[in-house]
Amino acid sequence: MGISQSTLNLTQSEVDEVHKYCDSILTAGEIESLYRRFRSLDKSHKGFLGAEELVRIPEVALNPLSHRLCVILDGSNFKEFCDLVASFSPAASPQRRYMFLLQFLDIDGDGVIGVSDIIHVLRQMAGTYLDENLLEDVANAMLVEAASLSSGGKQTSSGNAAKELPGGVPLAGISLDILEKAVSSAVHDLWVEIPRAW
Amino acid sequence: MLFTSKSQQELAALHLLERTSEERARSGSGAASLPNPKKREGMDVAAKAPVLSAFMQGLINPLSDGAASVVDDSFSCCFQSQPYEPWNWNFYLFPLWCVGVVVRHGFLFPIRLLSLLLGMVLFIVSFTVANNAISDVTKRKRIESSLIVFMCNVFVWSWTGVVRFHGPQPSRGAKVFVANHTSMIDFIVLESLFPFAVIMQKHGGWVGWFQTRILNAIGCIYFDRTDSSDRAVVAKRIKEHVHASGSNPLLIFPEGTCVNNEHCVMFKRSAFDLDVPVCPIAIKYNKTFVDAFWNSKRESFTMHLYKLMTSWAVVADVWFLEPMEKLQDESSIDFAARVQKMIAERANLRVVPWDGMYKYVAPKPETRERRRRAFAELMKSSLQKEKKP
Repeated sequence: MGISQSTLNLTQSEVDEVHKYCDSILTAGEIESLYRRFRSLDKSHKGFLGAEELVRIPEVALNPLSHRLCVILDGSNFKEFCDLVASFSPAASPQRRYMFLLQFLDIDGDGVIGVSDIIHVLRQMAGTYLDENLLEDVANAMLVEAASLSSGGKQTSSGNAAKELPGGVPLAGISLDILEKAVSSAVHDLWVEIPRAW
Repeated sequence: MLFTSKSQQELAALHLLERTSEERARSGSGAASLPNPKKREGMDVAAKAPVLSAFMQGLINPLSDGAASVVDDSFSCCFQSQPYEPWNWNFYLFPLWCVGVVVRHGFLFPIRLLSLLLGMVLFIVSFTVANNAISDVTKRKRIESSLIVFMCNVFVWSWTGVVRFHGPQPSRGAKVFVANHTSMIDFIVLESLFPFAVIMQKHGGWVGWFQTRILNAIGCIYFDRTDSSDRAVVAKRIKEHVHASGSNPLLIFPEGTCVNNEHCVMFKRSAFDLDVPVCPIAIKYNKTFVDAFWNSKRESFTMHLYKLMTSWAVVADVWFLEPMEKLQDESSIDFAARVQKMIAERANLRVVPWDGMYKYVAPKPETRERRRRAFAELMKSSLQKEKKP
């Protein structure tokens, strides 16, 4: 019954800006509906998200990865929020999703997923159900396997690379190309349905 | 109502998580039908690097779920007001809309406010007189009750409430009524028909004054969300009220919080634990003129009333449904869910499994712990697999 609340909507140039910022993955309709969502998440209208506001959503609070997710989203403005969501769009390339996964798992930000990163994520994913010493075992086993994956590409002739594993030397960290191999087809499950405003 | 049941919450959250993964699986089949040449390679990786691929597999679903609930979640949507659909966008609708604004704010609102204030003065004076002059308790209660019904009618009139009541009118025979909750005006609308005793949150300001001075006359029971020791006291008072003879029927809003009249959050079981038949009431507001949802975090009740009083009308349907009794081997939680379903169907609401109290407190982490345990098992078994390839 009122005059259109135009100040609450994005202008075309703003939509374009966000569209470019997220590599043209999100459509204008998706950006519009994400903007509504962003405004409702940003309860105090600061212009950026706060971790404590996200944790108030019960579904987020019950997610094992909520902590890392909130750390990544904490303080992000609308453009950055869209950039993150774009990685989950069905239209996003596998490359982009690998990149996102690497960023998500690379806690210390050194470009590769090292032992400390893996242990950090394992703690969130498994809580208290994995023993502390087991955490290190898992992380080491992953890095040994990563080493075999990275060399396995070259030794195409030997199909049973797994047999050579126990003596293998672990990598210092999992880089993007090894991550691609390790995730491979599972990356297709990394997606989210993004509502459209129209 | 306040009383939470741990197992009920857990069940609700589990149900929801299963639903989301189900939905993902269903829509995921669409994504899987895309050409997926990497599928075979993925199987090779799982053989070559069991721990690594188990880790990634276990990570991706919760990560997607987490992102999905950031993008959209079924809890927040329960408390979202209806977005405005402007209709004044062309040259002949715009002047009409302007006339409407002037009539609503400049003409209807003052008249309504004036009659509301007049009605209030009349009510307070006669209530005080009745309270002090009449010594016979039952007679005094009866007169006070009918004065409160009168006051609520004045309120309903002040927003030109067009309320259609369906089904048999409530009577003193039944003891417990439960209704879905949209706004504090639910109470006013129902009270304009019959003097229910209501269980409500204690408020401050002029609403608090009404609660302490007036509504005690019909036996209303108040609670304070922030005070956890309050629960036991309130539960005891409810029991006493229900078993006392001659008390007004109790009206309970088992959702415990205002929902946007499109969804229906979990019913707390306390109303269904009393071993008396429960009469469900379904309330549906028509949103054509105004959204009756009171978003108590965004606006005060006075602002909410102002919004209602400057609209053309508040249109509502109220259905008094068949009284329900707890079945022989039914738990109070199942009974609550059954009555909730009845009300939701009648008022065309979508049932969500969340506890409305999550607006105020964080949920219990049981489901998260279950997922964590499952992930830990997955990692352990993949380690085993690697040790003996």
